[in-house]
Amino acid sequence: MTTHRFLLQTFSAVGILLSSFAVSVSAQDAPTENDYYQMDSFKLPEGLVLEIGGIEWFNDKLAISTRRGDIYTVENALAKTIGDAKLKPFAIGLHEVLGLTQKDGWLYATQRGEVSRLKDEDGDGTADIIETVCDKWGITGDYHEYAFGSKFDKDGNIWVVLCLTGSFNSNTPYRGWCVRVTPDGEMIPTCSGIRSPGGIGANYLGDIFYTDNQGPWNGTCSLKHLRPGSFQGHPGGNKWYDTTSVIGPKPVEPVSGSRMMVEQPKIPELVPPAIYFPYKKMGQSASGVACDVSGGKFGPFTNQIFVGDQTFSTVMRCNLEMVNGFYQGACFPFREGFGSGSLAVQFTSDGSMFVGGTNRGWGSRGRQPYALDRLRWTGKVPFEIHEMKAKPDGFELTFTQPVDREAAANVESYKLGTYAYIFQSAYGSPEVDHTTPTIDRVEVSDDGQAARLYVTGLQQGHVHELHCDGVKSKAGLSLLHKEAYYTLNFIPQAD
Amino acid sequence: MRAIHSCRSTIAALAAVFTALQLAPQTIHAASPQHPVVPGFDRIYSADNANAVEGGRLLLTELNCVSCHKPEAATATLDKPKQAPILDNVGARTEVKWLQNYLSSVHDAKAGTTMPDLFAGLDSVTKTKQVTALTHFLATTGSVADVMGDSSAVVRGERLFHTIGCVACHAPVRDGVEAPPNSVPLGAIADKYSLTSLTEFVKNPLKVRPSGRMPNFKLDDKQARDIASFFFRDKKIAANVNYAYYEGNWQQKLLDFSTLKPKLEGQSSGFDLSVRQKNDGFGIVFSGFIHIPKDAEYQFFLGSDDGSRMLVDGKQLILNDGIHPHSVITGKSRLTTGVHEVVVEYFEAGGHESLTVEFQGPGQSRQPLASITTPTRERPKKEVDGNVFVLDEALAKQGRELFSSIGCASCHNLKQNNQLVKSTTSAKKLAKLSNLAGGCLAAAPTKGIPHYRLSDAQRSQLTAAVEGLQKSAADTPEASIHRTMAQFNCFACHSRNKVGGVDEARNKFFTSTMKEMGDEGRIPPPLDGVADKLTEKWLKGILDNGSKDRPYMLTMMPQFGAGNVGHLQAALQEVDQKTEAMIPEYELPDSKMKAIGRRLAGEKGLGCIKCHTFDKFKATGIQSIDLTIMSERLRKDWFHRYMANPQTYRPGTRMPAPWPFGQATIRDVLDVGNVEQQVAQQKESVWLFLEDGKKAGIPVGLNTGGIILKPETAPIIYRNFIEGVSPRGIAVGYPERVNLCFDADTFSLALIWENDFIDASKHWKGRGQGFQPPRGDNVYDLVRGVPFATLDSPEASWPTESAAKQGYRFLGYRFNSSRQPIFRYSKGRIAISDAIVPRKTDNQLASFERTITLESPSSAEGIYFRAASASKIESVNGGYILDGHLKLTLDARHTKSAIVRQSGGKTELLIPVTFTNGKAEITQIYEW
Repeated sequence: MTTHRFLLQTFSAVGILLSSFAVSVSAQDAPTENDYYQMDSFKLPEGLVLEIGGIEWFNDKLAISTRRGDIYTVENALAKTIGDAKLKPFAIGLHEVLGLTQKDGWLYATQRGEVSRLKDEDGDGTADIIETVCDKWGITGDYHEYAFGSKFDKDGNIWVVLCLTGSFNSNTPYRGWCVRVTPDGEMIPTCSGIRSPGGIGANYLGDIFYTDNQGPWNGTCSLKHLRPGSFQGHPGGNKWYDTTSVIGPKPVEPVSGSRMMVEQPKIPELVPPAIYFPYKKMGQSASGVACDVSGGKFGPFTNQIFVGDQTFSTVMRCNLEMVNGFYQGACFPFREGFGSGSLAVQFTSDGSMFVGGTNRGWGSRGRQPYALDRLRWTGKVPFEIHEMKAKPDGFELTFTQPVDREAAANVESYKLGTYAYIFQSAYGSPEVDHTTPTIDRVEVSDDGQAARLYVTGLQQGHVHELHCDGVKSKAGLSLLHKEAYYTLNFIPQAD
Repeated sequence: MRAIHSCRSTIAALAAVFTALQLAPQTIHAASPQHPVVPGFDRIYSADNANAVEGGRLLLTELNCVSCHKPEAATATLDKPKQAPILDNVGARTEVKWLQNYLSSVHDAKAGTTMPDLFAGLDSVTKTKQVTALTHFLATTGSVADVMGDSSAVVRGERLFHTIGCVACHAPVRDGVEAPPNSVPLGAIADKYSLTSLTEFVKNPLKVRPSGRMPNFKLDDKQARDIASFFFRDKKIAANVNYAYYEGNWQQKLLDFSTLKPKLEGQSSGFDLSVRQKNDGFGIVFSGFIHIPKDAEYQFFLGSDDGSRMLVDGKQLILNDGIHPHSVITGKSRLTTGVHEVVVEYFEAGGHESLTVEFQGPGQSRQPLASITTPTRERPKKEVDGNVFVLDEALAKQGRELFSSIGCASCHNLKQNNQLVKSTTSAKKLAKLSNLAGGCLAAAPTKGIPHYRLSDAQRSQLTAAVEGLQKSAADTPEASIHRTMAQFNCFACHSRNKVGGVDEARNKFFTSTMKEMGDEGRIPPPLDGVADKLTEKWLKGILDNGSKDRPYMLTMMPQFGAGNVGHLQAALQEVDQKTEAMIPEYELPDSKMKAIGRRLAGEKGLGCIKCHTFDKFKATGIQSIDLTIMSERLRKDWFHRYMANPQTYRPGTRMPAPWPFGQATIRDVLDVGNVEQQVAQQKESVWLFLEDGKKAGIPVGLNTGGIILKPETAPIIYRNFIEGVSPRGIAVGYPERVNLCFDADTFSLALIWENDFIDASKHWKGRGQGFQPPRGDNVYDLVRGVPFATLDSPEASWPTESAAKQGYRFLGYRFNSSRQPIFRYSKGRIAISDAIVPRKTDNQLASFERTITLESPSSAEGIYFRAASASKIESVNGGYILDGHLKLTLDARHTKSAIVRQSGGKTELLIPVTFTNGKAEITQIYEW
């Protein structure tokens, strides 16, 4: 077993796998994503439209919910070979279910207007009772008012992120908020400042994150931490502070045209996005959020967060760290080529990732109108940046395989640039305030699994876009994905 | 762009058509008409035995005799005469050269014209002087610029001219086609107008010819320009652009032409690539000047294969460089009034080549830029009789006086500085004319008298009319209709009382997009009984504005104008309209009748939708008139009679008799025990359905592209935005073909309807914005508001605050063994379950049975159930009729305790709720 100086606790579990499955492939025959993460697509029955918005493991089957409002169960979803999906309707005719979770034999579904729970009492495979748990938030009939529901948190709550009425306004209570639905059906307003969510999920510690999409007050798509009481940046729904005292007074309004990290010190409730997904580089519509807690069954990325992108039909990978009391971190490309626009992302306990897609209303690179795909680790470890972490004077990269020391230590193997986004009420933002910091030197760890980049010119509040084109593994492979994007809201202080 | 063969061959084919058109000789006129052509006269009164007084009477208006010889209001009923063209801006639409030529020889320049020669009998010196002076005067009203058409516009224009109805009055312009009789002459149109001014004229002829003899086809800019282009197909336009032609090896991009030496230089008509000497490896620099009439933003369109760029006043405006197929790039520029230099550089590397340069500006539709370019800074000069035309103020002044004094102003309106130029001529009143062999009616031209070149028949009939008018009998509406149809040449397309209809010679130009419809699809309908058929409003609309009710018929009904033919509506109504149909009484509610009508219109009924379109949806067979305009278009009385046997009203129609020989082929519908009644009620149900127009439910069998949810074995639930219900509507469709929508915001049964459930496509295609109405029929909208309330007294008003504030909470639904949802909700501590299930009836009505069960852990007093709230509640045997539509039946127990009361402007039906052992149950039946 090899170890290195920067080894993570959570990483050690797969250490053995790392060394035993090291891949040796010549440069001419570059490996592809599918060599490491095999994608299998379910063949869906003719005529059945499954625009998947929620996935959950329920009653030994895979339950999937759709934008049309149906819930189906899939038998043998974990079988080694995917045959035709055996689908059975569990409940038909709900209102756009974008979140499934389960407890005590009940399947909980977040519909557009309510959280409901469903039960099959007579065991025939279909729900006999559909019970409203909480319907205390408003809907107006505007198509934009989506509601995405989380899994249960450790207190038994479901977190629901409520899209604004359109991109700018909140025409009925708690549009543009995150609310928690308690086990007894009460609703606790929890965070404001939300624009247009695409998914919600917890990290391995149980903290809840959601994705928000490029638009007003969102220069690009991002992963945001839903700290209770926080303001997520879009003031469109802030009038509802007047109706609740649960999370304190209304925050100061941000100044349009400013920068997130210029406004953040002035607005204590404002939690900056933990990770920006640079527009048209990483994706265009961030969606489902899922954390790999399979303990190595899904490969070397245990406890990392995976986020879908609907437009690019991809799943991205994120590592988070806590700096200055706020989450921030890096994102990396992970897997492309999903059948439709990735929306729901879900892990099952065997280490499979299920991705449900749709491209109705918003186009996607995946050409199918809807799809259900399963991703499984082949057991081969890809050569990837495992994590990118901020340091007071640069970054630290860890890799999934030992590197070619000479190449990794060469500053010419890297290219680093930074930029920010305008924090504004208008739609989106170009990249602005570009800088090019200098990588002064790179130190490679003794075990060759980490590289420490010493950088002059780190920019607080900027995305740091790093390209590692020159880095090679010991076996001579280039990185499967050479780029990383670190959201440097805060530069850590030296110890 | 390298060889695109198909593209090339298409261009070649177009070019061939264009060439053929160019080479086609003008229409072969059997003989140019020697008399003024009034088509209605020639059609009806040219025969020897014609009614001379009526024929002459037509000429009096069509030749506008009455503009000089005023009729005595008391002695003669004369129709409104045909006004001569308005000449306010005549100089801006006609060429000076043409004006001079036309005035010099009216009858030769335009054989068949109705304009008299005012210079007949003058010596040639005086005549020339007068004509020149008048020409200068008319030229003060504006000037025209030469413009180029393009070959594709010519092809389209030729087709339009020969299909939309122009050739109903004018002669077809086709190789080898002889001009049919009664053709209204066009004259040398391309010499008279410019392409732009003809386009303007064609777009709305009523502007300068308000009397509507040339009606308005309401063409769009492009169609009008296409038709005008057709007339300008042979027009040679003077060179208006300079070019320098280069040869060389263009690899990727435009080269710097200033470093190259042109192989050829010259002037061309437009940005014309035909100046090239080879097809590949050449470049051309075009340059010219544009005359901008007013400060504004102008848009330019530069299209090329391969690269090009455009400079205005030396500055690059558009770059369309590189090797590519024909692609257009636009640019905008603010230009000041005056002259601007334009340069277009172009190169072709290989393959196909093309260049288009267009512009658009305020008041100028997109058109070739060459239409306003000149090779030098100077405006082009107009030549008349070989001399450059320079407007002479003194001559113009003389011309103005002549315009007043010789009679021009008697017929033509011409305003200068907003003042009408008045006529100073005087003529005897019509009734006072005595020498009917002299004056205008004299066979030979007389000095100072307008010469019409009348035919003998015209002269004698005018004489008869002038004499006969004095003693003419009282006018009848039919006679007036007949005269108007002759005046406006309606007879060219329509027959009435066996007069008129399409001439044999023109018949082939009446065409249709639906060949299968035969003559019915291409020949305008006869007008016998037209006002019996059409509603007053619709008929008036057609007369005033034209119509396009028959989309398959390529000949259009143009706009003749309310002021010209509007009076026909009342006259036709007086003559035609009958009210004699048997229109039945019926017992079912209107909404039920409409549902039946909708079923009959659908594919499993009488199949109307197989041949008639339905709003935007295509019929499944031929595409006949839209069903959704029928009730606005047709009179109900006529509809009932027509439906009995369409052949009697429209001989030869393809419309089958829906109730052949007075029998109902669909016997189970409205089977009221009497065939005559059944047929009448079925007809009435279809009519009632059609009365909903575009709001009518879509009949079964149309391909609407919808996603129709069909409950087959079990109910289907559809939770989404349902029109008329809060966003928390839960719609349920039952296999029994009854449907409901429960409102989970107010806990009310909101809508009930029958037949089709819902079309989910609004929500399931695209992003899903909007509320969707029920797909079915007979929708009954029940009152919203909480079902239960605690009242202090039976008189207390029903609470209106939100259900949530009244302690209601929605609990969802359970399914019973038939998979029917039982709604559950609570009010405080009272748990309520609400079962609404379909119920079979032995009448034709739809029905639900609703059972509400309440459970209260503690005693509950003063609780009422609001069973109904409606504008009107009538108590009937065993129940109540709501709004004359829905029948509500309570169980016997509650019928006794029910309270009918007036509250808040509505009638309410309240039931006191009594709990026994903590339970209460209410049952009611809905039938509608």
